[in-house]
Amino acid sequence: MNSSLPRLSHTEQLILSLLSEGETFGLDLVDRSDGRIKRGTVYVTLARMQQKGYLASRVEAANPGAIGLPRRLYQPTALGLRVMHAWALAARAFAGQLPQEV
Amino acid sequence: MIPGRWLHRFASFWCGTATREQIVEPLLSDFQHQWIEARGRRVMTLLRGYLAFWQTLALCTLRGGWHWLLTAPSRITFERIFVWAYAVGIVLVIVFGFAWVRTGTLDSTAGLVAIRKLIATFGPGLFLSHYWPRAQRLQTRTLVLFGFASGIALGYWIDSDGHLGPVLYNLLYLPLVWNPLAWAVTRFHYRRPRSVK
Repeated sequence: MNSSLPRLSHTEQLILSLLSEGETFGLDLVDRSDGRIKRGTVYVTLARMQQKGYLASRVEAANPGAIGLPRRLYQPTALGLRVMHAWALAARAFAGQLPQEV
Repeated sequence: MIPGRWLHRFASFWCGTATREQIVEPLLSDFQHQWIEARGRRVMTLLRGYLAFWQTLALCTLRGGWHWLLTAPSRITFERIFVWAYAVGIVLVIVFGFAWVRTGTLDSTAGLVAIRKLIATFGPGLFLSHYWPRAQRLQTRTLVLFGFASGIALGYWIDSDGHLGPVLYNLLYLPLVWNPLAWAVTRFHYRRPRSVK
């Protein structure tokens, strides 16, 4: 049994945190992140998180007469939310233990 | 006209299906919607959208190339292509380097300088023309271009002044450039993903 905790970068944590508030698209995540998520890398990160199984996505239904490509909307999966919560717990535990060890 | 259409065409040509659908199209769709909504500040929206596109494409290239080196999932027959280039190159060396000089068809100076340069570029050119149509993925196309450029650059670096004899030059060029390149590519091509412990 593989008991290791799945890896989650700071950006991935932030994306999961923002998406836990509701389904949205990539550029909205950039706008809501206060500059912590970059527009040039967010789509690569989102694709990687989908490969890991942390996110699911769907293409927005196009309105009749709409121009341009339909947007892709992202939402966290159950696995993504579990990993995010596990990392948050680990971070809190680590922050609490570190002063005692020092 | 809505922006991003030629970027989408370029991405359709350059990127693999997964990269296009999962990365490029979401980026372009957000860019187009932002441009539609941005009344009065469309120039900045355009600049930021184009910048994000090229940044993302560069990142995809690096990421895809690294992933390819680690996993080598494509089943492209590199060996066959290299053998072809190698065999044709050797035949040309024999023909141009020995037969034509011995029969006096060409002298061993001015004419052969141009001919050996042609031979020097023949291998990479053959490699490119054979492999490019088969390479459907961004990383494999990047590798083809890199191999082509490396072959030509190394070939001219070996004999930049044209001092070497044509036969010696080609005998040096072929093994020195193509053998290590073929070895490296086939080695990575057959490398399997590392097993998870």
